[in-house]
Amino acid sequence: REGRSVARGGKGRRQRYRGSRELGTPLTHPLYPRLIPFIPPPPIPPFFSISLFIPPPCISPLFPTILPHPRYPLHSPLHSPVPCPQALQSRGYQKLVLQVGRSSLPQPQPQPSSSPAVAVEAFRFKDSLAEDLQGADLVISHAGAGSCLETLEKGKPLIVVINDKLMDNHQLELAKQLHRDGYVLYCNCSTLVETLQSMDLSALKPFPPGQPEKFASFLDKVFGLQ
Amino acid sequence: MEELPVVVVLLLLFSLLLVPLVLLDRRRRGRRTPPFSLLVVAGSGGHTTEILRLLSCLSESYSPRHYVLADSDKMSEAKIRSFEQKRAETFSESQFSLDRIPRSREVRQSWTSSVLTTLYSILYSLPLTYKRKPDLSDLQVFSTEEWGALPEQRRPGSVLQVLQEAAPCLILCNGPGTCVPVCLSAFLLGLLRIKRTIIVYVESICRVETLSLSGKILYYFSDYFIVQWPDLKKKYPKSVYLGRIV
Repeated sequence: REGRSVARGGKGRRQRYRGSRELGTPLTHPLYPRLIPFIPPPPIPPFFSISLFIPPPCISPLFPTILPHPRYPLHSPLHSPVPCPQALQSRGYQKLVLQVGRSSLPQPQPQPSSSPAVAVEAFRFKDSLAEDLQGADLVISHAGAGSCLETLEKGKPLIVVINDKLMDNHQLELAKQLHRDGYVLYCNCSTLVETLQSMDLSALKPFPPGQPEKFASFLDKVFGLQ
Repeated sequence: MEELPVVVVLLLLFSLLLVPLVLLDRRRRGRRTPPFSLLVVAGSGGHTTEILRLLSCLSESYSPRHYVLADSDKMSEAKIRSFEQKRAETFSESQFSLDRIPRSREVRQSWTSSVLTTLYSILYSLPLTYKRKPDLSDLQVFSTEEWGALPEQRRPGSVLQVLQEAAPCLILCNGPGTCVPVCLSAFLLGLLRIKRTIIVYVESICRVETLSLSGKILYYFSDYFIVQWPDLKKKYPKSVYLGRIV
């Protein structure tokens, strides 16, 4: 009996091995799984990445109620239904476009009858935000370098909202520097409403484009082409 | 026996003298003639976008361009292909190749295991059992159309293999983890006088006050270390500041 079970165990093992081979791991080297432990990539924080405000006529009475992810407790006013749209509305913005990433899409809310609404549109991800950025009059974004630079290149005023929960995030460096140089407005989640109410967009400086030509001429000098 | 300490001291001094000589020797290079083959280390996220922007202004003398990606990188290949397609419209002779190497460091990986995995990515595929796709291994450079027609990706190769096949004059990188093993191996090959390569490191524009981990390492191994903010230039005097170039 014991002999049989051992034999079966062996067979099972062999079968399992063949099975894993058929599945095909992306890396074919047998040592790979032992040397490199699997580390899951960090989840994309469900912080709103970019929100844009475009002032066309009102479309539908919606309020953004984006639920914070349990791992990233967020206190952004954009996650609470009322205050942010009111602040926007008081500044004359009529449409709010949200990129919500992996957080839940805003649900339609019963509209308080007293005030005209800010129309809200939301999407999760897009390949390119260029069109939306082009049509926006104000951009609110996290401190991501890509988002900040893309917006500034389009010449749109930008409010950078810092997520205080991610303090070790090196991308804050860039946002702070851009703020120091006067290209962007800078606030955290709890002061966004105040910033929206008190902001003076005309004080922002236009952002000069980068100069990759300088790099090219530097390389040419290194190689003696000039 | 009394001379022994003197001899030892002299030997030590001599070897100390050798160090700057070897380092200086790296700087003294003969003039090269174009075209210069270029090895570009692309990384996930914003790194690829940034480096493609740098490449967009380079003249036709820098060809062919060999791109190196981490094998777990999904997004960069499409970006590079569309960039190269655009470039092929303006420069008819444009050539490039794409290669993959094992990733040397995952995000949040610890220091000690990073060293192991970096070594691993340098020496990956040294075992004889491993073969790259045979029908592609002898081809080094593809034109844009040929790459578009390739049905499968090349299998990842080791850093040494990639360096040997691409034989670049210039390595250009801007700070993804993948560039550490590539630049270190190129530096070692240069020290051993096997193949000298100019290493140009451009720190990402996100880095205003501190260098990235790759930057801190490659500050000592790159020939030209370019930073994009004046604060970094003050902290790291060997670096080159050209203004914002991205």
